[in-house]
Amino acid sequence: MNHDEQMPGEIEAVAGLPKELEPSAGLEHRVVGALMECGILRQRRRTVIELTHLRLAGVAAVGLVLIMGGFALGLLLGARSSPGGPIEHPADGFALAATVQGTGSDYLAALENLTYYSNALEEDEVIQGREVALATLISAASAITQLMPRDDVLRQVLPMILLPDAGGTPITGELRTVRF
Amino acid sequence: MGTAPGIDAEDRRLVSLILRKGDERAFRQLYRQYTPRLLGFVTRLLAGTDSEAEDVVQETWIRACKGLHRFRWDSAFGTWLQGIGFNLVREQLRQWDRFRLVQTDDPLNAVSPDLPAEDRIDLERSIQMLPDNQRVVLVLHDIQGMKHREIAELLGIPIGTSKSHLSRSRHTLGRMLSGVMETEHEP
Repeated sequence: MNHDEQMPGEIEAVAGLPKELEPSAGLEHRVVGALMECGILRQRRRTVIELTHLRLAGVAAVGLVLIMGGFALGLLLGARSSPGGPIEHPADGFALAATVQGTGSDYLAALENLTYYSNALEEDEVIQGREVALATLISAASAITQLMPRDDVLRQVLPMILLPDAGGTPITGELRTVRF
Repeated sequence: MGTAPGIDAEDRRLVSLILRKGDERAFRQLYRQYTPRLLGFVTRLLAGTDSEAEDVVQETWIRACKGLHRFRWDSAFGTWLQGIGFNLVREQLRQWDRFRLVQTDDPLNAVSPDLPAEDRIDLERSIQMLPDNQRVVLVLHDIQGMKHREIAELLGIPIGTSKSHLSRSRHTLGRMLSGVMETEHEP
């Protein structure tokens, strides 16, 4: 504020007005778009895993295995009087069913996040989102495989989820039929 | 309008990335740092709608980036950017060829902490209604904190003229705020 002139009350109020204004959300996008059109800015190279049809099919197959395996496990253990394996309270069929259902929901949410973040524009968001989604996915798969450690198909779930990174070998997209 | 050495060094780094690589992330960082102040500056000088002010801000960034390789760092980046914004405002005002009285329901969406909302809106409206040459000097001096010497340099007018515009604008504003509508237009 300058004081080289006498300032009446109203003028002091003028000096107190905010100097900054928040731009609308779309302005940044418009400016960046215009600068890209002019060739001043370049599109950033994306370093995320592309969700190709094959890869997506592979991930979806894993999802089906997890969910169907979970439900089958719930039904099986609910019907049995003394299930084997590492389950500590086999009689608690409801708790197990809830675990299975929760694992399936976590998986679906993770799958949705993974798809969203793989197509997002902000590189930082993509990396963070992908890490969170993959961690949830792996955690869900681990939970299922721990519930049924002897199941051959479920034992393969984790290696299927741990897909190679962007520069690695792509998955084959091999179709699997899972029978329970 | 000076900047701290650290900010200046960071600005240089970002500008260099934009020039060498067309780095989008560096640009976004620069944009987010300077746009709120630039928009506040342009909105008040233009006394138009939010959309008109944003159009000028967009054009300011485009013009700045096109001329980035010519920027020699004789001034701070923000000052240089505001200079470009100011020239565009002046072009726009000439294009409109008016000393118009603007009526908007929500002229500014920022909040002044010291004023009740209704008083602030009255004040903002009154500033918008000032004749362009008075408003420009008032905004540059009283809101942006520029000295008469800097204003005179920017506008290409004598320092005495800057002072007289400021004095008139304060007088007009005082009358407006006390309920007397001032509609005199200056040549």
